[in-house]
Amino acid sequence: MSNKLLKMIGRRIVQSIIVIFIVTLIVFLLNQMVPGDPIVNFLGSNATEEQIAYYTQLFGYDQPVLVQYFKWIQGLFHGEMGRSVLMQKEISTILFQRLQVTLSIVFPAFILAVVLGVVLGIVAAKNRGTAIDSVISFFANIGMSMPMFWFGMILILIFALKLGVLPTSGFTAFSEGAGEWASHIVLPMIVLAMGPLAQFTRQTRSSMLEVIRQDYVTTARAKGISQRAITFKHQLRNAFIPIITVMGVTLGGMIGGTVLVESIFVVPGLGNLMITSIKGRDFMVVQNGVLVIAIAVAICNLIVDILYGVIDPRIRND
Amino acid sequence: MNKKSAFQKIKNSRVVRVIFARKSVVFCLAVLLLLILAAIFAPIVAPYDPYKQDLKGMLQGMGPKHIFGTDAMGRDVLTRIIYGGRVSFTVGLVSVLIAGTIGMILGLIAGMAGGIVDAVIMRFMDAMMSVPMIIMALFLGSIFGKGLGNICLAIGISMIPSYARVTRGQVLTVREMDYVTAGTLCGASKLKNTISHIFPNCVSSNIVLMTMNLGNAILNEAALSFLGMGINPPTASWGSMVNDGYKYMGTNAVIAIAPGLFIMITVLCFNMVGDALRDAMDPKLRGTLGKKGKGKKGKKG
Amino acid sequence: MADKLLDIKDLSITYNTEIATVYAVNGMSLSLEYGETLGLVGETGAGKTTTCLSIMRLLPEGIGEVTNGSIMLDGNDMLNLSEDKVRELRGNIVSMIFQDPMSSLNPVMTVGDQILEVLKTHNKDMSKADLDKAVDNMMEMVGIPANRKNEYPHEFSGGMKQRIVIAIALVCEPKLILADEPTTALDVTIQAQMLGLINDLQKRLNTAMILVTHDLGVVAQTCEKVAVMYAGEVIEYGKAEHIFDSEKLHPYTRGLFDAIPKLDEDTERLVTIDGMIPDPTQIIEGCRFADRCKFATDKCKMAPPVVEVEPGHLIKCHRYDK
Repeated sequence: MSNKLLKMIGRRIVQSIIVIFIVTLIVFLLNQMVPGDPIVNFLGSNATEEQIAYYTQLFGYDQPVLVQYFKWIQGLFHGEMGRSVLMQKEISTILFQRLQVTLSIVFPAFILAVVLGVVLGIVAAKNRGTAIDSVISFFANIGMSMPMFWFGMILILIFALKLGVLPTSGFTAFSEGAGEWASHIVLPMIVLAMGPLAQFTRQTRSSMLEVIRQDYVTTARAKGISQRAITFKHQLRNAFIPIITVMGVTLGGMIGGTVLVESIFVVPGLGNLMITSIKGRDFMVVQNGVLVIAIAVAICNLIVDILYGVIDPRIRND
Repeated sequence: MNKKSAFQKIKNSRVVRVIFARKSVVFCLAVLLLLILAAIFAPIVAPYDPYKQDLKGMLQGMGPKHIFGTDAMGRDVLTRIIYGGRVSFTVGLVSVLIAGTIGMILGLIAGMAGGIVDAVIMRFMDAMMSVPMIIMALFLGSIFGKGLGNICLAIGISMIPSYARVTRGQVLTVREMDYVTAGTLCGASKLKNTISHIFPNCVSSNIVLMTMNLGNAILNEAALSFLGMGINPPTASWGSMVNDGYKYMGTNAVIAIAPGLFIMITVLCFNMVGDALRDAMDPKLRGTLGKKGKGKKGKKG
Repeated sequence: MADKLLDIKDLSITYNTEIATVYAVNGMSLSLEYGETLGLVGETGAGKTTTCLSIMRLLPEGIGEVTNGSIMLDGNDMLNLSEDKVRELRGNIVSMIFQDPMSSLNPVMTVGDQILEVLKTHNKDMSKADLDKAVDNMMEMVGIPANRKNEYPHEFSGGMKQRIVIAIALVCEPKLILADEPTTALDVTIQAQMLGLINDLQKRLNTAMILVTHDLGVVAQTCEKVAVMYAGEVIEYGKAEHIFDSEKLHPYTRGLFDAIPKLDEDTERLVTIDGMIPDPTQIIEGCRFADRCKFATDKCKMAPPVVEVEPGHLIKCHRYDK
């Protein structure tokens, strides 16, 4: 049994590596198409020809495209990502710092969304057709439709400007005090969790309703076991299979969502970095940043697939 | 021929019936219609000129002359919201059409050809999917540049993978169906089979996906505009209006809140319609929806 | 110990949906002795499954409703017990074998756990080792090697799955099994095997059984008593030999027999009973079969009496009324 699971995981890891490799190709090729020059952009319009030539050579932008690509990949294997033109720092250092900040918002938000979403979904399904169900479903629909940046703005207005209980922006590392850290991430976390929370609620509700109709639930009831056991052992476990699919999609989306959240709350995370780098034509940072994000997404998907295999024995076979 | 059109009518009427059985969906359709008409006839409907600056009357609050107040350049916010609808609806529709068309073609090719072609296309789609959509759109946006057409293209391309996946899945399922096999046994060529059986099936599931993605496309456009990578400044767009108004949040919140509200309402309505359409097209739910449907009778022996 | 295992009196059940009220069971009465096997026969929609579900109080919540009558099971008034008490009886005193083994097992739970679950629920003081041994025994009894208990349902064939469903139903040695068309979803070759198995186990455990089927051949092989249902009521009841040998039969039962294709006769078309079962959303005053009956007279507009045509053989029809 676990053997099958291991094989499945192995297969998925190989697939992920192939996908990551294709990501490097896509990102690199797209980067070649971006108009503008990071060096010119950085030095400003009154830079001399020599200055531009010097820096272009320094950063390796003068080499043939293929060489640049292979150098990049080669560097990656040594853990080197090159230097940022804009920030004049090692890209790997910047990315590592930024990733920590981003993940410290994404993970709590994800957990909040899953736990609350699943609970609300179950409550809605159990009270189908009642006012409770209508209210939950209505708010889930709203949550799916709200522009993230707008929601964040309203929260800032209420909690920071009007009530003055939370800071409007910025970020403090956890190591510098849990209270400070929490007060800074609570709003970004809520904003980031909103859409996924709505999605989990909807998915849980619909898959619980789907499962309630299944014959094996009738079998379980015919066994004389308690309603609790029916809900948790029979319904929820089966209902979780489609919920897990949503988890995979959502985690990727949340990492993308940090672009918006971090720009509203001025959090120095990966998302914020991506915007400044894309705007500033800092090619190498964009390239490596997207790669890191893609790897993060791939890891999330891998975890989701493993969960799948653990929960649904049917997956392990093919 | 006659028979087929009659069948088509029944099918259509079922979808229409299910959709119209939900009062909330009818309401959403009405709201959307209103917003779209307002956007189309903006020059007639809007009370002011969207570009007319009035530096003396800037940053007014809500009032009888300007329902949602005026922005930092004294332009009427309601007027700009009405004009901004043009951007949102155009981007929503065009980008979804781009994604749907290209995605469906790729999915059909992958599903029909199989083997290496399938593997290459689908791995590419996987790779695109592992880059979050908004980052992909930002990235593509930086290549194409600002402007309405470019935004549509950037958002459209970033949404391709889901359509390719759905279409390919459909092709693989439909190809195994008995009636397609029957077609092959009757001597229909592969191409003819594709056109007559597989294509219509894929189209219907893609239309559902498109409707459900309209809201997402609009949200993405708003996000790009909010980040300053969308529509060029003087043109009104809901996302950029929120961004402009953001600075005056403490003093004059309505100029940022109002356009955001319109984004939410529009996306909400599209989502509701999309859900209804999906339920209506889902054969598993057949008979459980709609007032004239047969309904569940429970199990009987 | 009550003198009868099961006594259903005047049971009426409706399904209330948004669109209509369906009268699924209409004043049906039925009784069963301990250890007895009864074949419940009738076409689709006659109310057979509904009856079984109501015995276990498993009618779909909020939709199925018992409007009249009583069900006494082993001295328990099933319709008036608390939910907790009913739960104690389910799977323990009465259990059910469902129609479709493909969907009646939980796909994400090992088959061993699914059998264990019901045993553990009703035998809280049994030790882990004893429980495991009982599960192993049960699996061997239904013909599945006990070492496969850690496998999942999808790893078994349809027939094997039905064996597991049977094991779940029998592991607590209930007094009554409700077998709802246990072979319909299986291949013809496995059907006989499965019936043999159920019959054999039932004898060994001295369990009574209601076998729901529309196959009269199956009834002849396995049942001592037969009840024929039509449009939500029992229209004929008797020993199997009564039904199979008697000249006096309800016109509907007669029609059922005529509809069985005969190997020794060369017929062009299969014999059918003309017409359809009445619309279950309508209340019918007189005999529900009258519309399709060759012998219908004016009398049939009134509710038919139950006539005992020979000792223990009851027919609900005006035709045999003196």
